[in-house]
Amino acid sequence: MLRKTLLIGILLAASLLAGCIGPRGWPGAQIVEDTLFVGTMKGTVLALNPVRGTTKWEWEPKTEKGNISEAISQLGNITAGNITSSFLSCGGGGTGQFRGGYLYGAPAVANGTVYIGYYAGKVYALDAAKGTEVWDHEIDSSIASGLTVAEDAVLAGSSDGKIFALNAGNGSLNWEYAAKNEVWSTPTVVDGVVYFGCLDHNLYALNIADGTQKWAFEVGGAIVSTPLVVEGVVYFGSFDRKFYALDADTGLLKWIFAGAEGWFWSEAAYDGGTIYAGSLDHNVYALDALNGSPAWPEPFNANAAVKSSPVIAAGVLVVASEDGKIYGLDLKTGEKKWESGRIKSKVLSPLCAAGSTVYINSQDNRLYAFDGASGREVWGITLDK
Amino acid sequence: MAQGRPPRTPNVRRLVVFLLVVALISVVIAGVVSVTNVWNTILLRPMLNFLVLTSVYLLGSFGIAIIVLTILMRILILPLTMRQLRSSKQMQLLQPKLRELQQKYAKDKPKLGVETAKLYKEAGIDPLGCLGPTLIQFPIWVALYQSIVQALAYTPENLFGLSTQLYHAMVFQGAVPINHHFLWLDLTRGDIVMVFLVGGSTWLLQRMTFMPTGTQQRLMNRVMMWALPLFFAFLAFTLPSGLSVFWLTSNLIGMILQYRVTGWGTLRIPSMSFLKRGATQPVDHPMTKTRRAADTRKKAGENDRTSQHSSVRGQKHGDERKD
Repeated sequence: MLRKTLLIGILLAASLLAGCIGPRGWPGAQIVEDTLFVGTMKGTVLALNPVRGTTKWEWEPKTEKGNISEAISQLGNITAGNITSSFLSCGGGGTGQFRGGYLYGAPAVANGTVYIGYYAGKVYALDAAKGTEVWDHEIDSSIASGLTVAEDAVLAGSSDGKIFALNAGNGSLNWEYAAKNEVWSTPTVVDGVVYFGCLDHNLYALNIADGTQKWAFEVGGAIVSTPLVVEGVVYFGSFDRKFYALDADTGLLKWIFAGAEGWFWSEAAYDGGTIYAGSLDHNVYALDALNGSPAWPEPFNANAAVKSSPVIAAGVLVVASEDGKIYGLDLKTGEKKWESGRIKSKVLSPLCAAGSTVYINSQDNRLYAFDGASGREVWGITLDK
Repeated sequence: MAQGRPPRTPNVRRLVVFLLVVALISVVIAGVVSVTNVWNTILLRPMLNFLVLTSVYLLGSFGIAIIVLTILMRILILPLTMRQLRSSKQMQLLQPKLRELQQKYAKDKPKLGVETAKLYKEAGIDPLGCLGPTLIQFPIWVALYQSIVQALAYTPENLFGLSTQLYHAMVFQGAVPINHHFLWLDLTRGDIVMVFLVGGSTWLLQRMTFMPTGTQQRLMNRVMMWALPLFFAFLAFTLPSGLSVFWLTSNLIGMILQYRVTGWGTLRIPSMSFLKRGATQPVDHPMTKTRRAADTRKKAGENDRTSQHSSVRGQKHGDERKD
């Protein structure tokens, strides 16, 4: 009996200590005109008034069993055979979470339609005005990145190593392209070319019309960052701790920055010939877009991993570190203008900026609006009360 | 046990064990939460990075890396495991006498406790002797479990967490993502074949491990005999099969070690030799009983010899099979 008791004790303790086995997501926000669209940690989508944070509509995906609450009651909270099992997860599968309802990245919005992709492998199109479902499309794998919509196509990567393009109007599959590993990078589309990174260490460029490969560039590490394309140059960071600039047309290397000590995970920001990139080595780097040389005397140290994409608001570079601290930095010097410790949770989602306001999702399912110029919290709300 | 120390009754012993387990789990949880760096530096990171490194150099297979690390960890704690098994075996050998005491003092629990403690003392056995080795193994198993889950990094969160655990050298950092295909398995997903292998091997190990017990614990033993394999089978179905590879490897090694120390235990292995007329087999085996009944009628003298032989085996194995 003694050994059995201990064995079970070990197993339970190990399960508790194993960290986040299950996914939780890091949903982002997107602002279009006078509406802020945001995904929540519980899998719902909200349309908010960006000034006050009041809700215009809320949408939750229906399951075959009914709505989320019904699904929970019928399925329990354990989904056997699917890695979305919340049995040993670190809280993501708690109350209110339906199976697979995890969102990574921000909703994509175009032509009055909101597009979202779920970790469970389902893409939904919603009417942006009413919050009603227009169509859905299911794939065989999980989606762990944001969606991109361009030229009447909705693009997303999947964990089975594919990137697919759906017809934005009806959700039918236009084409899919098979890479060699998970595609957890949100695609970027510029001038009819789809750029995305892959865990197989390649950055791919595909023709959006038919999904044929234009070029691929292999680096020394996995790529999950969203490529930034500016003036014919593709900028992205990799797990090999290097930041790259490639010719967008040919895929030829323009320069490499190798001064970081950690992975690059997030999309970089661009302003006035300078690239701003956060790294998991706690630093924010400013690089000359022409040659990759450091634009600041020293990188800014945020004292925690910078996983969220930085944004520029009111002439200030706003970055969030994993520990929930928000910083406003001078674009030219990298000096700290302000700092906010208002967020008491991790920040992993990409930031969203509109005008002088920055919108930030935190991992405790709250959404904050900060004034970019001063760092003052404009409002903060709990999503899915 | 020290002279003059009041003997522990079984209930008190169970309470002590329970409290120790709870305390240990609490300490580990608190330790990991507050002294994460110590835990990571000493146990988790070395194991995790070893897994990553071996997966790079051993055919690029994370499955082989899991097997290698499990074997190495088993070798590392082998002295503790052997001590634990020997302690269990000693306890096993005392069971007939313990049962006698239980019958004799069925209505006098305090006396039973005194006599039981006396028996243990005479035999030189510490009834909690297997506790120490098991507790020492505890953090190693937890870290091994954690390192497998983190290295697989099958969710974006796990991958993000992995970034903080990998050593700085590019041989570790560049190994991401880990190749999570091994044989027919996708190590990040549950697998139905592994459900049977893990459940089956856990059941076999349970059968080999179980000690004969008194009537009170018999029901509990029967429940555990099935509950634990089913529990692991369920985990094998729902959790990444990389963990199933670890459990299966560990079970197989456990069975080998258990066999070397205590034999097959309560596990009945049908042997071809049993089918041969006149071959010896456990005294309480159904086939033996049937055949012995027949033999009794036909060959009284030979039956005496068989009983004599069987009784010797019964000292070793027979008693425990009565459960």
